[in-house]
Amino acid sequence: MVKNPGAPSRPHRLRALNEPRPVRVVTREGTPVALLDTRGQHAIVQIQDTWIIEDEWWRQEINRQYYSLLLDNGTLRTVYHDRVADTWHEQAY
Amino acid sequence: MAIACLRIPHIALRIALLDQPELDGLPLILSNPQSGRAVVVDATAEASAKGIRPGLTLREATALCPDAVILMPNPAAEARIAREILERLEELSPLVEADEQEPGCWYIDLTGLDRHFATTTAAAERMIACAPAILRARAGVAGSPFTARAAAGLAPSGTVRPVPKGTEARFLAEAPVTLLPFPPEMTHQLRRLGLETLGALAKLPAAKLAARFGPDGRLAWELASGIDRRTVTPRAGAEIVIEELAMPTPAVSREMLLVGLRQLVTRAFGRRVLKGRQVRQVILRAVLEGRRSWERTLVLKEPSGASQLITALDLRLQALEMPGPIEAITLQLSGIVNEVAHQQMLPTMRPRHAPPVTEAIHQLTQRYGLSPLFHVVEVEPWSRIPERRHALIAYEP
Repeated sequence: MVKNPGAPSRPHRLRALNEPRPVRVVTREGTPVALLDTRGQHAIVQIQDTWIIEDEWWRQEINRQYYSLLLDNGTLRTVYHDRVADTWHEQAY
Repeated sequence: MAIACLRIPHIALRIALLDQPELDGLPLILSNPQSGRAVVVDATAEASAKGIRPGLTLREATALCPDAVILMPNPAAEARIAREILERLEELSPLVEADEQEPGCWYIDLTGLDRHFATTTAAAERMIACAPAILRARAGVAGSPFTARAAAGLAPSGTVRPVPKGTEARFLAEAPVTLLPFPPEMTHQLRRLGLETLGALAKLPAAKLAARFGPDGRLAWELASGIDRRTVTPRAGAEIVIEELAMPTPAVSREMLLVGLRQLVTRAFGRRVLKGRQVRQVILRAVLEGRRSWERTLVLKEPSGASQLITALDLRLQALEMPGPIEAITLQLSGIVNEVAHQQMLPTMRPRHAPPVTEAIHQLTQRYGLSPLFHVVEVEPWSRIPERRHALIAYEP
């Protein structure tokens, strides 16, 4: 049997990358029309792509609808709607 | 200075009629199923007369007009037709500009064409002939781009609406605000405020419009007042290489698509124009079964030659969901630059990073209790959940 070394665990050694960040999104009939961040509100010019991820329904369900959005300032942002918690997050995909 | 504006309203829908001319005259709806929620993107005048407008869901639209024909966008055909029309117009005048905001709108400076055409109207009629008749092109001729565009917006299909010098102010005063080159929401707001004509808009103080609508309000006032300082700016002589390939059988796998792309890249880099040169941008167009098409633009991180481009395409295609059986592919290469190379460091001149980094990490660990330097490791690179693919792990040499 391996003896417990008694050393403290080191959770700092592994950190998730690209974790989702909360973001405010204005929707119309469920479709995003504007995105709010620290620089203000940006209208969504075009939804370039959208896709759904459904996974792990057997434990903590993951159900996200991703949107690739072209904003009026020319930037491309990826956000998702957490369909379980009804919240919006930004996350590069 | 006389400027002609050639316009093809609802160009994406009209282009679909090139393959299906029997649909001409029917209420047509353009939709985009790939956007997740199928809505009306555009509708012809016949469909608009039945109450169909952009933004409605297809269910609502078909309830309003059960006879409506729903068409899908065909970006490959749109790009090809727009390029062909632009090239034909450039044969008539060297000063031709495609409107970047509005597909199906071109401005042509008619200066100097009086030696070839009896009147500016005759020149504009010749320009209408540059587009296939089924596209229902129309033109306007005036002293400024906006007035010419507004005149084209009021001209019936296949005709020219000239606005003679001296009558432009009166023409603009009576023109509806819907001719302004702004999103429908803004013109809708103007109409709700009781501003139906450009003349009514021009009578308002410019500052108040700017305060209400921002820079667009100021620009709207200027255009309505006949102030338009724009000139026709022809496209820069950018070098573009286009290669096309018809697939022997419709490609349904990425591997088959990549084989075709390899052939196109090899063929393109075999051309004299790309000898010893590299490209920065790739537009990939695919013609799918059922008269549909698909388009992707890839901007490369750095100028690439043939082998680097094939590798880059291979990587990008791994994440591609095949849109359907591909019948033909087109590769458009642009941003052509002379070959660049990165100078490799000679082994003896390479900086000796390791000992100083190790020493620095030891010092930082002593100070903060843990190493503040991390490196990225793959955890579940295949995961569909982005935050599970990679992780940061403490860098401990």
